[in-house]
Order: sequence, then C-alpha cells, then structure tokens
Amino acid sequence: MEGCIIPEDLIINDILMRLPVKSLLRFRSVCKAWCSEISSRHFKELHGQRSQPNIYRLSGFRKGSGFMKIERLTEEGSLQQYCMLPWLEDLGLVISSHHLIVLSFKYGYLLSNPAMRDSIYVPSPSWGEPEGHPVGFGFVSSLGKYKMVGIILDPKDTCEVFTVGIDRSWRKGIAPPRSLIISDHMPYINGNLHMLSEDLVNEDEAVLVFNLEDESWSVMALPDVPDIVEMSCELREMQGFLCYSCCICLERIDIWMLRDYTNNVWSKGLVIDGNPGVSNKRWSVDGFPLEVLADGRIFVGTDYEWFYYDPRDGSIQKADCKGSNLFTTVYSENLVPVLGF
Amino acid sequence: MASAGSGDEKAAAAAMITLISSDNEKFEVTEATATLSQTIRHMIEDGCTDGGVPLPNVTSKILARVIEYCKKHATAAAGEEGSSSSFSDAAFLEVDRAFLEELEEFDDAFLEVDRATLFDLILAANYLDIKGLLNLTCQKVADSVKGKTPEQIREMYNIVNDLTPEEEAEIRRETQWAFE
Repeated sequence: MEGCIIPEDLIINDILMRLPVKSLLRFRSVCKAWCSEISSRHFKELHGQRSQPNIYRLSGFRKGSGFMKIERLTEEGSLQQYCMLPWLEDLGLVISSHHLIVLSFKYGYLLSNPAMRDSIYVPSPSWGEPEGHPVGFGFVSSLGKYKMVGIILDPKDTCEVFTVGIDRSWRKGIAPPRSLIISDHMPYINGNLHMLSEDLVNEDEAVLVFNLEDESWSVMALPDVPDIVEMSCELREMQGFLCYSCCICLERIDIWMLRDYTNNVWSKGLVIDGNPGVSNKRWSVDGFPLEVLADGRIFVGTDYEWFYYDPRDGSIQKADCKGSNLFTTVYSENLVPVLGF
Repeated sequence: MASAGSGDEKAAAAAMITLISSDNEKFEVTEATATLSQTIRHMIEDGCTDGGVPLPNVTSKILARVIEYCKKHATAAAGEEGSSSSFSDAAFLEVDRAFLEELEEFDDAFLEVDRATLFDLILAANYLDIKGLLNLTCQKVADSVKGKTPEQIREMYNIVNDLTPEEEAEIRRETQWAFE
C-alpha cells in the first residue's frame, strides 16, 4: 500500500518545516490538522529560525513608477522577480535583517515580510527624518513582537524604541553608554542588537550591545586586531554568528567570528584574499561579506558589484548580476506576521 | 548482498558489527559505518551488540540501501564530526573538493527511488537516528511536494479533506496569490 505511512511528527518537523512560505500557505487547505499546525505560532517561529537566507535586490525606485521591485538571487546566479513594494519618497536604504526587509524613507519606515505580502509603516522617531540615523530591529520572542531601536548621534547619543504592533509613537530609551560609530548594520543575535562604538578618550573600539527585551545596554570586547590605517570594519551576522569584518582596501577581508558568545571569545574565521593566485587581475576588495550561500560560497557585496568567494579553494568569481550594497539585503522567508502574535 | 568486504581495507582491523533485518538477513559492517546511526552507537556504548543487532523495523531491502549510504558517508564523517555549520568549522576549509562533489553525486543517485522506498528510507533513518540520511530524504520529499496543489498532496499522502467548503474557501481568499 502506498499512502501516508510517515508519522505526523515527521511530516511536520522534517518535511513541512523545509517548505517555502508559498507552499505552506497553500497547504493550509489540505486538511484541518495541517491548517492548524501551519497556523500555529510555534510552527511559524521554528520555521523562521530554520529558513535559509537568500540575497535580494531592490530596484526600480524611479519616481512615478508607483512600485519598487524586489528580486531574488537564484542558486543559478540570476535575478528572479520576487515581489513588489509600494514606491517610497526619498528612499534611504534597506536595513538588513534576516526576517524582515525594512526600508527607510521620508516619513518613516516600511517593514515588510515579502513572503507573506505583509507590510506596515512605522513613523519616524521624534527627531524627524530617518535618513542618517542608525536603526536596528529584531523579534522579541517573549513578547511575540518586533521592536525597533533608533539612535540619534548628535548632539549626544540618545535612543528611542518602538514596539511594532503595540506602540503608537517612539518611546525614549536609555542612552548608550559609549558613542556609536555610524553604520547601516546592527546584527541581531541572541536577543541583542550589536553596534560598533569608539571611546573617544581612550580610542578603543568595542561592541555596544542593546538587549531588545529589557532595553538595557552593555559593552562587549572586540578581537585584538592590528591597527591598519586603510581599514574599514563592520559588524555582520553570518550563519548565526556575530562577525567582525575588517576590509583592508584592495588587499583582503579578515572575518573574525564570535564563536563563544557567552564568554566573548573571538577567533579568526576566514580571510578573503583580494589577490588570489587563480586570477591575474587584482580584485578590488572594498566590500563586506553578506552571507554564506547554500553551496558554501560566500556572497560579498561591494558598492557596485557582487562577488562570490569560495573558501574551499580561495577563488573569487564575479557575479553575473550586480547591485549596490545599499539596496542588497539578506532575507529568510518566514511566516511571522510583521505585527507579531 | 551488501555485506562488508571489498571497499573497507582501511578499516579491516576495526571491530565489525552484525545488523539483522526484520526478515532475518545478516549484514556485517564496520563500527565506523554502523555508528553513523546514533541508535546503534548507543547500543555499542552500552555493550549490547554481541550476537548482532536486531532491527525489527527495517527490511533487508531497505537496510542494504541504508548501509550503502552509511559506508559512503562514514569516510566523510571522519573529517567532519557531524558539524553542518561549514562556515564555522575550520576543518571544512581543508575538505577535499573532489570528494565533496563525489558525495553529492552519490546522494543524487541514491535518491533515484520510487516514493514507497523513499518513505521507507525516511522511517529507517528516523528509527536508526541517522541525521544526514533523514535530512537528505526529507529534503527530497519537500522538494517534490513544494510545487503541488492541496488536491495532489491529499492524493499523494492519502489525506482526507476534513475542512468544510466554507473553511477551504476562506483559506483561499486569505492568500489567493499562493494558489496561483
């Protein structure tokens, strides 16, 4: 007999969990059991955590078009139309996060979970236009809601918090204990947002950590990296690890990983050599790695171009498509509603 | 019969384990091959493998395939220690690329089976607790169902539709685009 011989827990945990959002939305109409399972908060959160990240590009933001296009980079390396978002005036940038695509514009932010065709607007913080202010966000599991944090750098660093689906306006938060280095990225790992900071008196760099649940600050040490003049550094998340990427322009990218989060232990994860033996043309490394792809290659975005770095043989390959870092983002399809549970 | 012998020169000195299928066929395999199964690993640790390991849930046909998988992957596991987090694993960087490609080809060919066999492999992988094999087979099923309609899914899995027509219509209305 050929039929449903696989136990239900295997179907749910090992098969449904691997499916893309679109299939799952459709399979809610298979039967009552599948519908309630796929609709459950437990399933949605777990599916989101297991979902594989992909690279997306935003384009078509010319005025008058009415829409912006989001394309997905396929495994074959081409761009595929993914979804449309409403056109936004004075589009700032795409804020990278694994579970939402967030765009800043003239009047605030658009938060979108494109796989669910679910988008909402969040107003600007009290200081006005969002342009140029570091913003981070993450899903607070205990609350079942997304929270956003905005930081104003001038005159003195202050912080405001917005709980999506609860707050109507931004609330004042505790000011960060050190000054922030401006960056487009605030990786969200273990319930904490991470940003680079510099102590102006001692000139030592550290990681500022903001816990989204209790809205408190702490400071974490960075790895001991030799001081090189032509070096720019950023914090990123790759495969669930906090990474400190240091790009020595035209030479190489050093990636340090926080392997042991609790004990603050960093180790050098990878060096992307900008001058590999396989190519006789010097590659201009002036970007940052964005994500590890399903096949093990690392996607590197620069200001104008995309590259793949293969850690297995150290080769660097230019992508067939290109995009600017500002409008390239990492997103993992998920069923979590933007307004939370 | 897929018993040990030809390809295991390196492990010739290693301990051998006898696996016994539900239809009483005996398979002799190296410990390295057998311990890809966490279930068998625990039995070995508890010292209860003398006289063979009876596997009443696995037929000889399926066990032969499972052993084929384990033999191939035991060599890979030696360097990998079961870590799937390639980026964080320093050993990953030194892994022989040709071998990885060979393994991928093996997996692809391994999955060329009918649906009933695939389901049996999933059940065996689950019972024997072989993570790699469970991942591989479940991903294959996931890939094969993701483009299907709810009607096709019900047919494939013998599922009775217990939703009322109103409930079904409501689900469709909520996310019409997912059905297009």
